Amino acid sequence: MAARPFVPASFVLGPTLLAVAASAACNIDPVHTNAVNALGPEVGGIPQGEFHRAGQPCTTCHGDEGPAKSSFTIGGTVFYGPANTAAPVGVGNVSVTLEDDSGSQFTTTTNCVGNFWVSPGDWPGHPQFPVLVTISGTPAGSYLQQSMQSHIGRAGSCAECHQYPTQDNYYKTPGLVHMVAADDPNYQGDQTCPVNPVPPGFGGP
Amino acid sequence: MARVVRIVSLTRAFAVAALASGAMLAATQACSGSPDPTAFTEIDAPDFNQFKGAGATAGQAGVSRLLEKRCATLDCHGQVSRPLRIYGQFGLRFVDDGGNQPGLGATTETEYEANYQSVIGLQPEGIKNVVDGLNPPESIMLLRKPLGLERHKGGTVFVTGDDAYQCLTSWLGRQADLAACGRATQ
Repeated sequence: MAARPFVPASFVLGPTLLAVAASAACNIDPVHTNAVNALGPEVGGIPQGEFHRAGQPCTTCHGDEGPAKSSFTIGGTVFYGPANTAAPVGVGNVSVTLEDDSGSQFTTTTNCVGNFWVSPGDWPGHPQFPVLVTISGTPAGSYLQQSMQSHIGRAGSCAECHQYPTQDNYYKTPGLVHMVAADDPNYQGDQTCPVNPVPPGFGGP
Repeated sequence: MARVVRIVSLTRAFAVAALASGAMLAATQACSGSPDPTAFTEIDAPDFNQFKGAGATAGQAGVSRLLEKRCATLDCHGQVSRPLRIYGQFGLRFVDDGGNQPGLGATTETEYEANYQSVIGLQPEGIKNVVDGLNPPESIMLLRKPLGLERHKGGTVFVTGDDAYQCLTSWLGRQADLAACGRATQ
């Protein structure tokens, strides 16, 4: 009987442990990886931070699976309007009021590109879905308020459903989150904002 | 000694291969019958008109309306990837059916029919058995999931005895309580 060659345990264990460590460090969920990749790279001139990726689904990256370091339970972008305007303008200082299934309410405010988010520590133990949402503010001098016609079932990102409507997706999106139904070419957003409140990447169908 | 072990292992491998081949052959024989194109399952289904709320008065609603409002947001059952896919005014719209967007335009006849087929097609025989009084409503997923009796990603959304429960169970019992359906959509 031929003797088996001696293989030190470390020769086997080492690569195995390395492979496990590599798997743990990277996201190996192909669906999530594809969703993150589909968002594309950061846009030049808009650094990573509170003003970036307006209109995109925040919790794709800012969720349990990363890759962002911070986690949001709910996040989105409020635009002036309408839902399919060719050049949506993000609206700052809009109150976003959330009421969850337990009756608990939480209000946050949009920044100057219209972005808002709720971190787990902001509203501990909540939201308990479904969630009702109302947005309100005075972006152009007069008070405006909009409430969602339906509730949020479980999506953390507004943009999971609220996308720019095109011929390909019109049947499954109500359009962008917006304050008014009619376009106002005079509304330019907050001109003191460090970032242009008209995010790149939008356009007509 | 080593040679004996090898013979024993070969014999065992031979036996395993023979068993596997036999099992495969039996499985093939069992599945080799030609499908009968005339075969069908007869479904004693609950009423379509009650489902869509035909004749509903103020404050009343059909079963579809309940499902549209409570279950069919775009992030839940208002998605094309769902087995229980529900269309409606406030969620997913039927493609090329008037070009409606979510939130705009009432639920169409095509959407009612698609919703009905979704609900009935989820567990056809199960629904039949409930309609025929052979099994309780809690035996089918249409009730088990929202009541939290089995895993539901959306959690527990109905409670036994509430208006939504009454709406669904009365419809499965052949006489939908449209008033309960209406209250459940408020």
